[in-house]
Amino acid sequence: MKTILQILELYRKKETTPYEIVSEYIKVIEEKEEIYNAFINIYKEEALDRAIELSKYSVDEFELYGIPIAIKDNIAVESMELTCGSRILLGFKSPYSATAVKRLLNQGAIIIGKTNLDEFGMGCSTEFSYFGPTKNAIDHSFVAGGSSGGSAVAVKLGEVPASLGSDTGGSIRQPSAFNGVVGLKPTYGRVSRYGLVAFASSLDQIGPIALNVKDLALIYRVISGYDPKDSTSVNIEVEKIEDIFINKRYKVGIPRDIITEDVEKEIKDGFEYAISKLVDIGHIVEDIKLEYWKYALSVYHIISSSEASSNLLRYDGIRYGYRGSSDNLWDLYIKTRSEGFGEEVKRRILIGTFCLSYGYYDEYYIKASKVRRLIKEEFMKAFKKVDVIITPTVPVFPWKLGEKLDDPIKMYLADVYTVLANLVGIPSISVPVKISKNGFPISIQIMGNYFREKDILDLAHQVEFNETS
Amino acid sequence: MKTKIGLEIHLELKTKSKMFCSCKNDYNQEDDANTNICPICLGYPGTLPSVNRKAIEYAIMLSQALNCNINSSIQFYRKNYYYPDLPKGYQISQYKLGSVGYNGYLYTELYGGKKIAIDRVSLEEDTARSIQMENEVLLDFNRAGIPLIEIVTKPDMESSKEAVKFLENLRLTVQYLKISDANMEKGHMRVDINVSVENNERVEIKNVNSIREVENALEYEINYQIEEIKKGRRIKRTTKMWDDYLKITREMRRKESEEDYRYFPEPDIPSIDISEYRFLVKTPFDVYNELISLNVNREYAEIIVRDMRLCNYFYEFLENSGDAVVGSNLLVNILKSFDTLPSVREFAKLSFFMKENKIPPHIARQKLLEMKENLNVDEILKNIEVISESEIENIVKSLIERYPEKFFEYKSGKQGLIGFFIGEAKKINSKIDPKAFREVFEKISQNINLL
Ligand SMILES: [Zn+2]
Repeated sequence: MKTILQILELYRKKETTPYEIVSEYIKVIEEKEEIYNAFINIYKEEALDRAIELSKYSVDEFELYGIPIAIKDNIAVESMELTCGSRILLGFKSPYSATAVKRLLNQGAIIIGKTNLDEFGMGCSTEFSYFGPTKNAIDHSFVAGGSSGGSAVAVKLGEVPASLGSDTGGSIRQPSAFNGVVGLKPTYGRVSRYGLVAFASSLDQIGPIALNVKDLALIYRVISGYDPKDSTSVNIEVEKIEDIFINKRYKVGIPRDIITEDVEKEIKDGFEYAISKLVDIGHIVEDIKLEYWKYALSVYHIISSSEASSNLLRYDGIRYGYRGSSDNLWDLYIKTRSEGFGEEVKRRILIGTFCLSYGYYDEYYIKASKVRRLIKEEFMKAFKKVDVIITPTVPVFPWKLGEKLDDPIKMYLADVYTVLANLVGIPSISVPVKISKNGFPISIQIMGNYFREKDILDLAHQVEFNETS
Repeated sequence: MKTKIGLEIHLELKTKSKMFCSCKNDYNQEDDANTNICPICLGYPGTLPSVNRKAIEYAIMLSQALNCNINSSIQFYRKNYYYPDLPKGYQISQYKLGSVGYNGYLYTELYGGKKIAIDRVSLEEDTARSIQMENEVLLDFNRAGIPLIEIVTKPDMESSKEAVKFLENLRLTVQYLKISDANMEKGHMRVDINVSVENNERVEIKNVNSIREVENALEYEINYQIEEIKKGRRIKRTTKMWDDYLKITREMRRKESEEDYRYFPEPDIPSIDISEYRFLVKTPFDVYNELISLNVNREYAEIIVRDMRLCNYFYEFLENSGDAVVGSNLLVNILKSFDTLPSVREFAKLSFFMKENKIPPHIARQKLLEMKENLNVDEILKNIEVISESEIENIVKSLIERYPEKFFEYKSGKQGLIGFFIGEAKKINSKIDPKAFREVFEKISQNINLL
């Protein structure tokens, strides 16, 4: 399996062309898709046409010259379908491209297809897609993780060298951990959200998934930066690659209380292994105390569902997408949304609508916002003592397809560590540190301070376990 | 019975582009339907709002003009509800806290009158225009996303007349600031009314499309409520529509009046610091007071202030060293009816010669009516025979000799007889200036002792 850096090297040596590379990847896609279902739409002809177009240029003109990339299907690409894994957007073509996508295209990337996801990003197994589940790349009887399951599996299978996902509560990092690839959720405001279909606007962030940390950094650099189209994006300069991988020694915070009995034994061991590896390399490890993490999952679900209930109001069958049939306006709304949305989305819309309702708003939304602030303050305090904070990415291994479908609460627990970075708004990376006996990788997440992506990328690069690194 | 009226006014702002995207603000509805649209104002998946700074500036200007406190930072909120004219399923709006202005006031008269408290001045976006056809509703998204200012008053008005006066002053203020044309027929200014009688529940009236309709709707509704109360019936809290065809208010479906909008802070727009933004604003009240300080008659000042054409002309006239007292008189009494006004320089020149008594007022009036926009002061001066003061003295003396008993009555206090003498003088010389004659007459009469 080739990394981005290897492909670029082949181009430089003129040993291959974008057309050949795209053809190779399409061959893999055609072999694997029937089993794994990582893609919702594949744009073979468009990708090949662009590959030919790119051959007029030279590899040194672009940072991602001729690199095939898959895009999670909740990120807009002009004239491609944008389904969000939902029936309600079946057949809807986006009239514009997300800023992150434009930046990739400006640097010579080739978009090869749109990947599967839990409907509107709501879920952590990619089973809640109108287009069927994506299967785990290591064992296809297991879940892929989610919601960016398609993007993680596509990379692991070698269908693309890298992809974009989106992360609202762990949706990039958790499937990356389940499939043994690396995934980054940048700082809130680092990557423009313009063109990312909103799930929870104050938590959503676009980020890359790749085979190793160096590839991840390449994509991260290209998609980051201020965008006037996103008022929450921040104008802070993005690091150069050579300033990121400096092999620095860091002060690493370990919130030991977080590792409860519910964490699977082998994951605990894997986490301890990672800590000892950090110490061996020469990093300073320090225990830190976090109190409010216990409330994070509840706070996350109240805030994300509240925002989602509002963000999803626009799917009403009036202007685009699926429309239920009725002569009566209110009935049309009811039919469109009842038939267009899946069960998990409906569940979250109901919870969110309740949390924002008159009489409950203070008790739920406002209270959750206050606790969110406390969690933030606690992290800020911790970052005065340490450079980064690590936890396991997920407390459990991938489960069998269908196993937790009837128990959403149990399923939500998979996000318990990852939601922290979204609530605080800090960058976080998931990186595999070893392979467990069952064959699934064990990953840790490394959280850094605001706009300190360089710290977590540098550290992740030093500890990553990867065949390609 | 005691009536309390509160108003909620929505104003479309005259910005170049819309509130949250760069589409043209087709303010006067000149373009074809659905031509000024983009993925943002259509609420397409993945789009985000970016705030039009000009709209914020306009809201600050209006807050200043309405004597409001201004928040140091503002926050947008989402108002969630379904309607086909609302592309995102929520309207980006503001909510009590975080509005641009709060706790202001506006008077019902230019000279003062009653102070009507303003609760808040806030920003939001307009919805699409829906056009009801026989079997379908057409939607024009050109209007979706046009910046709106919402002004909410306290229930301080006690009659339809007061509400009308408030609205007229508000409209004038907005026009002075040049932030909106506030043309109600074009939908630039839309009014929702809240009215309660004798502390009963309040009734909201929507769909009122002109200041005259506001007056009619209020009169109808107040009378209706008084009659109901007299009959011992309870007034329900409800929302009504004004039907301008039948000239009645009628109740709307319950659904639309009892919605829970689930307001929450708009996560796509961080709060905006506006503490540095303040503007020099000149309100009609400022202009009125300025005219009064120039000794312009109050009635004339009001007429000038309320007519922006006259007001702009008058200010240009003052800049050309025109005389405020003489000019305001002629402007209101003569020029006001002209389609085209004379050159400001000529008019200023005219006022100068009148002030200097070189052109008597009756000549000035007569010539203005003849020459209209072609006013030419040199021409007037050429044709004027200036009657010397000694000539006037002679006429005065001859008249006193001719009418000794009238003069006696005049001296005894019948001041009105001066008119008789002016009339007689004009028979002797038609070009005599009454003002000059009066001065000379008074001077001479003072020097004559009757006994
Ligand atoms: Zn637009």
